[in-house]
Amino acid sequence: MEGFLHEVECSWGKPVAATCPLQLLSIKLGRLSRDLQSWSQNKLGSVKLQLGYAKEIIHRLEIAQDSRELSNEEDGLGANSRDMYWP
Amino acid sequence: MRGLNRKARRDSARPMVNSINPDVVCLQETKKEAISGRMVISMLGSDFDQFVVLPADGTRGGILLAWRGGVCHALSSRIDNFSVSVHFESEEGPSWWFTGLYGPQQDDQKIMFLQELHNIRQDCQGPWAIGGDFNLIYMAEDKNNANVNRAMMGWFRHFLDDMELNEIPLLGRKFTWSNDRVTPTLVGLDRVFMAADREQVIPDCVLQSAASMISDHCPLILGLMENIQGK
Repeated sequence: MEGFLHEVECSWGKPVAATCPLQLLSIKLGRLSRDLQSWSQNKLGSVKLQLGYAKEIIHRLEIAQDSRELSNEEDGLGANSRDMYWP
Repeated sequence: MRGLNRKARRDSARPMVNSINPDVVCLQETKKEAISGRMVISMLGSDFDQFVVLPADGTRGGILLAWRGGVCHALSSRIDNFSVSVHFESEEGPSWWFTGLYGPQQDDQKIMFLQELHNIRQDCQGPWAIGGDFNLIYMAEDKNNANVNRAMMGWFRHFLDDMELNEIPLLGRKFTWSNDRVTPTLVGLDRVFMAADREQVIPDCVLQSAASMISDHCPLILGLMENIQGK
């Protein structure tokens, strides 16, 4: 998933004030778990929002097409929105 | 629906159900000869534990009408050649019938289809809501080109008058089906009607279209005061 490895690197690379390797590992893992949780929540939220927008755009274009021909730009917008659902 | 045979297609109904949160779902053109309770639950969610099925004829047609057993209580149901009907109990007011249908495409069968609905009405008294893909239109404006069958249109209009059915006006889309060509043929094939006495019982209902993400038909969302929803 896009951005996942970057998120792991950032979290893992943050400085830790510990000398014992086991304690170091435990702190890093705990931190990574929290960081990835909030990352996935943000990511998922924005994906849901974008899919909601795509669906709304498709419906609006369908309503418009009921009374007139769509422009090339509108056709392109519709195709892009559908690609979000069915990549 | 254009068939529930592929898993991807069955899975595609779920986001729709989750976002609209209906109590009753009616799918037409299931193209399945048999539908198990497990399949309904995996497709719509575990609350949809009650359903009736009109099996597809080979891979043609087929209807699934499913509802949340914890919300709606069905008194009885019947399955005919082109439709399924369920008699729902109502907390306040009289119990009512819902008929979900998939109209035939051949002209000679369309008359039989209207006769079937006529017969259902004779057996099923009281408030009646009826909806689905009629594969019929009753006005020339229901199609975006002039290629219409006026005789058949007359039959349908006569049927609606005779049965005293009132259409629930659709908000959003003007047409509900597209042949998905570059210059598409668009037709308003999907409708919801209510028998006159139903309208006296529940005057507040809204019919909306949604984006046609998974079909060449757009989904219709029927909201009633009683919180019963269809398709």
